[in-house]
Amino acid sequence: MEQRDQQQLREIQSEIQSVLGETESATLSLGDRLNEIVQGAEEFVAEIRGEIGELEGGEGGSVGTVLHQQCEAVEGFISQVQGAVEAQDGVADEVLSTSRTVMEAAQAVASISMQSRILCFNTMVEAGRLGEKGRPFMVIAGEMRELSDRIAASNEQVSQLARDLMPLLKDVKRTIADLRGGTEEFAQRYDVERKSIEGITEQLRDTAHRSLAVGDEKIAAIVERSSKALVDLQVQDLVSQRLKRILRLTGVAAEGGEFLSESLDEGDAAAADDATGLEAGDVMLF
Amino acid sequence: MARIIIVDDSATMRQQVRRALEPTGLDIAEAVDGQDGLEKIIADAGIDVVILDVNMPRMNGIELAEELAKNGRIEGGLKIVMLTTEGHADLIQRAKAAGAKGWLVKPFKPDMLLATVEKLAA
Repeated sequence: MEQRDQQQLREIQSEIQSVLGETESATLSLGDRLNEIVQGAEEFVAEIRGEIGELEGGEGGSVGTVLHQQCEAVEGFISQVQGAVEAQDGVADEVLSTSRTVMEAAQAVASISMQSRILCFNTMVEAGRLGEKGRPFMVIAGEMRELSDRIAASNEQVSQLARDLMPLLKDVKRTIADLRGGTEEFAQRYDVERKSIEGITEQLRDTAHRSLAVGDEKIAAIVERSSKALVDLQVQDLVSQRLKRILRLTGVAAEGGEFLSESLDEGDAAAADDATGLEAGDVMLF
Repeated sequence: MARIIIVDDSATMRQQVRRALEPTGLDIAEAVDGQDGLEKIIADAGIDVVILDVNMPRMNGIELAEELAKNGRIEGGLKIVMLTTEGHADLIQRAKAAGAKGWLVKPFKPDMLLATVEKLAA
């Protein structure tokens, strides 16, 4: 080969080497991008699954479970309030009934006291008629009258207390009735709210699952396509490696060496050896 | 922790092998040809698995496997998986005789490579 031809060949080789270098850089960069896509897709799915997990049952229990527990707690509280209201109402009824009994007893005592006074008056009249002999009876009648007056005064105080208690007890009963009504209304409204919360939680869970299913399918397609692209990238790289080898052998030939075509046998996966039957992607373990 | 070295003269191939093996969580090293691989493997007794290309400048993969067999590293537990476009029976036989544990044909499927390495590293 003439010197001029050799120089031209070297220039061509240099140019091809440069192109191969650029191809390798581009291939590496493309590989990086594809890796990022696959990794990003996998991380996205993992993250979404994590969010769904939180919804279904994280460390502190699922959102649904927590809401359910809160509902149970509120229902327990409502039940306690209702129990307390009923108990208070029962106590108020008993006090009211006792007060009425006391008032009736006081009326009876007042009647007896009045009869005692009349009796004392008659005794004093009869004792006066007896003169000196009636004096002891006069003293007894006087004592009895004093006792009767004291009983009447004391009875009046008890009656007044019972009378004063009656409006207070009626107020207590009204308050209890209001509280009962309020509690029932709250319980009814809460029941509606609870059903609404349960419905929203269920909808949220369904939506999340549907989104995950759709997302999973699309992400799986992206991952599959990207994985195929990564294999294509390997094929592209193998072609580049084969070109480099041809270039090297051409250089040897240009320098006067022998171009051994059998050295190019490897490098083509499709041309894998028939004797072994191995094809691209195959694995043989010894 | 087990360590892996990828010996391949193609940067793209090393990149893809590294990506495929990252889920193992193993420490991954790289060598750009057979000679570089030999030096790194001899210098690092902690390397347990070698992913080895066949056609490389300076020293090819078969020669490297044979060198490692000579100095007792394979007998010491080093596991070699050949990763190549080659499929010649005589080359496969030479690798097997040197003590290689497997032969994968390029372009490889990442999950197949991962499964093979996990099996060998276990």
